[in-house]
Amino acid sequence: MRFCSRSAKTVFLLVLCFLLFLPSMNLSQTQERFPKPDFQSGYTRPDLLTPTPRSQLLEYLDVLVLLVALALATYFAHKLRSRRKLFVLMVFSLIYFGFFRKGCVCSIGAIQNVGYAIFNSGYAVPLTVIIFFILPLVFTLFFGRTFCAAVCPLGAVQDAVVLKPTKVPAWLAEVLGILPYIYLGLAVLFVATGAGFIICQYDPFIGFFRFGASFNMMIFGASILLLGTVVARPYCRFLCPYGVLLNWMSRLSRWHVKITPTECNKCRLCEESCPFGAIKTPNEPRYQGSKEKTVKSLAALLVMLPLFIGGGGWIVSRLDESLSRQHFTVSLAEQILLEERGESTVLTEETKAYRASGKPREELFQEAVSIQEKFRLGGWFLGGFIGLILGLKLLNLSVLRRQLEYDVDTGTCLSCGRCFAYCPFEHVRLGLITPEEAAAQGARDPEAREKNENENV
Amino acid sequence: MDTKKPKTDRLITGLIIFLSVVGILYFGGRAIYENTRRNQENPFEYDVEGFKRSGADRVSHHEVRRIQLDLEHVLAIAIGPNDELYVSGDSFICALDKEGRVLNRIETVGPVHCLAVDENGDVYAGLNDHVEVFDNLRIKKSSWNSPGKEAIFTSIAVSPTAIFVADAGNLVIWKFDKAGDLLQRIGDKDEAKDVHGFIIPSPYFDVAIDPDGFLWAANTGRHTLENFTPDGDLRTAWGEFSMEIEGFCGCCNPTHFIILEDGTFVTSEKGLPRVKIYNRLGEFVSVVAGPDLFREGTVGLDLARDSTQRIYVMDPVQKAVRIFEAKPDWEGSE
Repeated sequence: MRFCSRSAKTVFLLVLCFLLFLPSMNLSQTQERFPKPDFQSGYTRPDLLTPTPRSQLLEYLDVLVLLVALALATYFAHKLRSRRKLFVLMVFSLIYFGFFRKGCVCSIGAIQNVGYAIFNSGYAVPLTVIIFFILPLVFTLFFGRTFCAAVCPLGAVQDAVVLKPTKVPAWLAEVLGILPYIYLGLAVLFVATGAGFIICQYDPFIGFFRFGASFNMMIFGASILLLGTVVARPYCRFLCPYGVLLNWMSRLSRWHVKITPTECNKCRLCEESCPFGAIKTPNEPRYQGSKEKTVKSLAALLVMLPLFIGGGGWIVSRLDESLSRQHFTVSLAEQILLEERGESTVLTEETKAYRASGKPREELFQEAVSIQEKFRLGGWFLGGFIGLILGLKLLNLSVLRRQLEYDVDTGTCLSCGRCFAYCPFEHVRLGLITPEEAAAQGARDPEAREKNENENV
Repeated sequence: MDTKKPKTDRLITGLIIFLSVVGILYFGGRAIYENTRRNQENPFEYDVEGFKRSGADRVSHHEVRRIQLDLEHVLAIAIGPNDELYVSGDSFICALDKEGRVLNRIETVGPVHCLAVDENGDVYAGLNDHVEVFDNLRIKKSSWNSPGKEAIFTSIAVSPTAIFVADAGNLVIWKFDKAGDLLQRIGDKDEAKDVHGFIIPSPYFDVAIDPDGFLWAANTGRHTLENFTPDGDLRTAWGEFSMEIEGFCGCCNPTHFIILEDGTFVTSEKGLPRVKIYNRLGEFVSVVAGPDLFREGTVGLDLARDSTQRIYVMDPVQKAVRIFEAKPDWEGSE
């Protein structure tokens, strides 16, 4: 990292590693006494105490911190163009929103609260959660993804471990880029059917923030961080469902950070600076074959788009049985059925509790069937959505756009500011070199000079 | 970023990517499976399977007979002066011969939780809060006064001069004369006498008389057997908590015990149902019956011994009296 000294980063990484792996040291230290004493000697067990909820004032404090952090991130990225300050703010966000607030409430998980409120009229989503959901989107709509740059704790924990980023091949990035859409669609389907909040359930970093999670989730999170050392921010790029919404907003953003503060002289110095592959390089659209043929293939894709949507919907709606098993009621009904048929010899705590409640089994099965139907219907929407995204991606790949200079891809750029320092005009802005020296930078690079000359011709 | 990395760098990067992707897929998949699998065991359940095998190499007895009882509930057993077996249930007491045939049966006004038989064949039956005495199960001789509504009688021990009744409700031992007159209350907390009182978390509180005529009581909450003088002063105590075979497990054990002619103790436990032998000093000697011989949930293994020192174990789950005899080849039999 160019803006931070190597020793400072090493110390930070060591501290972070210690914090991240602290829970694993605690995994096997719990002991229980068996059986629980059944006192009959006059001793009365103390009542269980339920902790009081966090005060509303502190909830609003979180909102205030989020607002200030977003404002600062935007200011650092747009006005100061300072990677160092963004990094410091990122560390603060990691500590505050991550370790202090234990990753909750977070904007990514808030998708589910908002979704659940939309599909379930009986659920009143807290105002603070709505603000956490909307505020980053609003900032992104105006200034790009400054939330990702320095405010999101999940992004921060990954950004902190980026050591030797490798460029992911464009085709692979495109393919993996579909996963966040699927994850988002699944998350909405699950909250709509009341099956659960899977984004929170499978948050890979929450275990680190809370110093505790299941062994599998801890290793899952650690594996993502390990991957993050060589593939920058893998969760943000290839899984984050909130990233989908931010991507859309960012494409529409009024003001977005740029690599160069003034003009691009195509020196190519920034070309490899982005670990996220979010820099668009200058190109000249070259049609494979005739222009007419390209237009025809585009038209064919447009015609096929409804097929993608319909096909996707049909396929995912067929998965209703598997998907609905994630719902507790369906899972319970299936287990009771298995136990009654003698196919399951082990009685679970859930089925024991259900039987003890005395509720009729028919009622449970009816409810399970109704939930499965919801999944079938939801599957049509989810599959259609995935089909649409696939179709649009194919269309996007078929449309050849002319790119004149090096610029960020506003959808995928995380506004992290890594590329700023690579631009000679940034050095001019900082007063480190003169404009003439900056102009000469491009000229000194033989490849760039040749490319520039070709383009000029 | 440097695109022309040395070969070693590329190798390390490839290895990291490979390992992390495998980790993500494998452990992510396991996390999903963990959350969705149906046959989920209780993750908070304490696993005692390992302790059930403890002491398997120290088994000194084997089951030689089993008297299956055709009774609804069995609560207590006792052995008479001629080795006849007495069994009590919800509202009866019956005497059985060695083959398990019913010799005599008498109805009671309530469940009989404990039984004892003196040298004359008089049967002392501990009902919930009072004692009834039967003459060889033919007629009721007397019904003693209850020491109070809170009384829960759990055990009776007979000495030549007195009857001791363990009361899990009042956490004391009542000493009666044979006519049923209350003589003494034993075991109340008395720091001056260094008596720290009984801790009885569950209704299992046994008493017995040793060959020297001293009273012993199971202070189950402390996992000890305590010995009292005739005046009710604490003489000595032994026992310790342990899930291993040497100690007493769970919250409150031993639930029952008897003392053999040579002064050795036979104890039974709940939680991990097992019957063990300790010497006069309270040192673990051997296992009579391990947890593998009892069904899940077996609680309340009442004990008795006959004149040949065979050990009778009442199994309330299998509704049987199981008779154990020392193995002839047991190394510690000498």
